[in-house]
Amino acid sequence: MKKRFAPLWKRAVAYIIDIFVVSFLVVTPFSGFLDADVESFADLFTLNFSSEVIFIGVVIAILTLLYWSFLEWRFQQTVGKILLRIRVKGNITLWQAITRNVTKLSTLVLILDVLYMFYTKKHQRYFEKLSRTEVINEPKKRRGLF
Amino acid sequence: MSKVFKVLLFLAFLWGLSYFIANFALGVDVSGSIGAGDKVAVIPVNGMITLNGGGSLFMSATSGEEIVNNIEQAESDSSIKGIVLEINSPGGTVMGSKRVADKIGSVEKPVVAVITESGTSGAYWIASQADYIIADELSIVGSIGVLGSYLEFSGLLDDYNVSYQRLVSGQHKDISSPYKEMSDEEEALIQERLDTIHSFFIAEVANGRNMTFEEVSDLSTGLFYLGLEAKELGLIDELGDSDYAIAYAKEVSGITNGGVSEYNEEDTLFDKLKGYMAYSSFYIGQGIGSVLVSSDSGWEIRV
Repeated sequence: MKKRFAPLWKRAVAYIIDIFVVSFLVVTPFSGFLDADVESFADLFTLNFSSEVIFIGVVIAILTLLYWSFLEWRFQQTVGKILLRIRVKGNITLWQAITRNVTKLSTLVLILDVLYMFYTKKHQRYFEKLSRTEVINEPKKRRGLF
Repeated sequence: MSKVFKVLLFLAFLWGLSYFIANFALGVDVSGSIGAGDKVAVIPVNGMITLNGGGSLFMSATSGEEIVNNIEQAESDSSIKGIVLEINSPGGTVMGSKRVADKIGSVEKPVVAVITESGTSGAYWIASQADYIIADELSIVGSIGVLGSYLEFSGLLDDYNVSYQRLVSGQHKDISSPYKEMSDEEEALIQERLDTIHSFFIAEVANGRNMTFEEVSDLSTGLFYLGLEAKELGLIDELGDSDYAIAYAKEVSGITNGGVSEYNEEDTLFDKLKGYMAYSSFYIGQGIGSVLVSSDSGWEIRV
């Protein structure tokens, strides 16, 4: 069976879907607490964030990473990938799953990571190359969710 | 177990874990918000004040109980160090206004009242219980008095040969009914009660403003004052706007870089429609509206 690397547009759409899922599952329960009066970048350097805000930020980061890492480790697919019929190739270890997803905790780092994809034939992000993982289209014989 | 089911199970677990941490492990009131450190709460007091809100088809009303709930939430939130009451109200019912005023009087955190457009009658009663009152120089303030007026239709009924069939048990059961002419005795009885409420109102303002009963009584003809006049008379403390009031509240609360937690009222589409109708028909429909939605006598005492 011929392998086919997942096209960029599918990966982008899958990522957007996953963002919505994560926002609903992980961020929404904390939304009532996150209301910092940040109007400009300068505020970020002058505001005194309480320890609770910092704690919540860390918790959200951990749960977000848990979403991506656990699902790709156990099922090779997140919700977005299931819907777009793409998957992480092969059975990967938990450490590989964490490594390939850690850049999703920071938008800036993720952007830099994604830029690397345009220079590789396999459409791999830099951290995907580090973790030796790839994203491919779901094989035809395994199509269907059940 | 299918893969999709397992994925859904994991998603449910993840959501449950987030919810548990947010609401129990953190031990923070979910109705509040953790901003950048400590904050002041801004609680609006808008529109006519009744005890439970609602109003009528022609007039929106704000709930005194809801305002009290907001104040209690701000009180119990440890990140809230001060409270700003943002008032734009012509007053309301006696109990609606008193409920809020009594609550403010019991709050230990600093309370700053800012009157934006109007803070009269029951709304001023509420403001007078705050630690500090700020108003714009042209805000409408005061009107310390009691209103029990209503439209009486007995003459109109006579013109159309409609009679009021009086069947009561209890001599004054239909006192202030708009369908019959009020007797001198009834008028005296109602006036006596209005005067009692008025005296209570004056005493409350005097206590809140650290003035004597007589000083407040002299100002309690029901007349409203502009902010400039109110400051001269001691009814408010300073001239300013909402931004200034928030800054002042932060200062007296000892907050340097604190944020603001706004307790906004949520309007339904029906509330918005009511509000529009209220603005366009208030002065014409006030008497008729009170007949439609108030007690059987169609009469309500307002401050």
